[in-house]
Amino acid sequence: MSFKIKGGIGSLGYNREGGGRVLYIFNGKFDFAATDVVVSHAYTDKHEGEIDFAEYDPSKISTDRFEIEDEVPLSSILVIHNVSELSDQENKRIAIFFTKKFLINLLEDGVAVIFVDLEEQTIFVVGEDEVNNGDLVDALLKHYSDATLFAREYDHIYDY
Amino acid sequence: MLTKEEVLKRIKEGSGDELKGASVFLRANKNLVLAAVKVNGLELRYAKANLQSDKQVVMAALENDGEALEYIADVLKDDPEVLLAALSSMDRKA
Repeated sequence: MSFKIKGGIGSLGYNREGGGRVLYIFNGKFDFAATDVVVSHAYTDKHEGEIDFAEYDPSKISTDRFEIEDEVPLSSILVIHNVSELSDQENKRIAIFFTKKFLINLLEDGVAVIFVDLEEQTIFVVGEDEVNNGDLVDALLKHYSDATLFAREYDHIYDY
Repeated sequence: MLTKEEVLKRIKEGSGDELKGASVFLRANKNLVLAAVKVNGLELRYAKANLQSDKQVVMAALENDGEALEYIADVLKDDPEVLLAALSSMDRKA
């Protein structure tokens, strides 16, 4: 079974031009097949007969609040505790707050955030609407302990 | 880069961006940061990291604006007093 893209991928850009910074969020373990599907849709232009695409390895995405290198557990970047002195509802409000701010910080920094749903085998580009509608945040919190982040910097083929 | 006098003027006027553009030295000045976050809690964003984990500074920022929770250091993210102060402040603003 292969991954299906919901809503299109569009252009992810190139690092040299200030784009090409992509953060994949998996609701489980990293799956190379998903990133393969994404780049095959995002990078189709050719340069001297070859697809104009390369990726930095390691790749690092830095914002003013987070630094994410290659593959890391979500919980190592997005710190959320279940605090016993708080009610379930209060803990949930705090968790939602931190998760939304995490995603918005990435988007505001120009990072393309791509959610890979391993259960549904779907992929979609996260925008502000998805952050605010709550489903994505709920899905992330449901998989908080096993979700994985994968940072990639894409560039022109001969820039690497 | 803002001078201390310029930062103090912004704090006094409550004109926003009180610490943005200030030097690291000024953003590490606890009294200055405390004064700034009391006027605009979100200025905690520009405070030096050690002050983002200073409970007195953090509580002052949260009292002004619960959304400043975004900028607290990880070490305070399991502190019930801090978290409840943020929720309470958000509820007051809602």
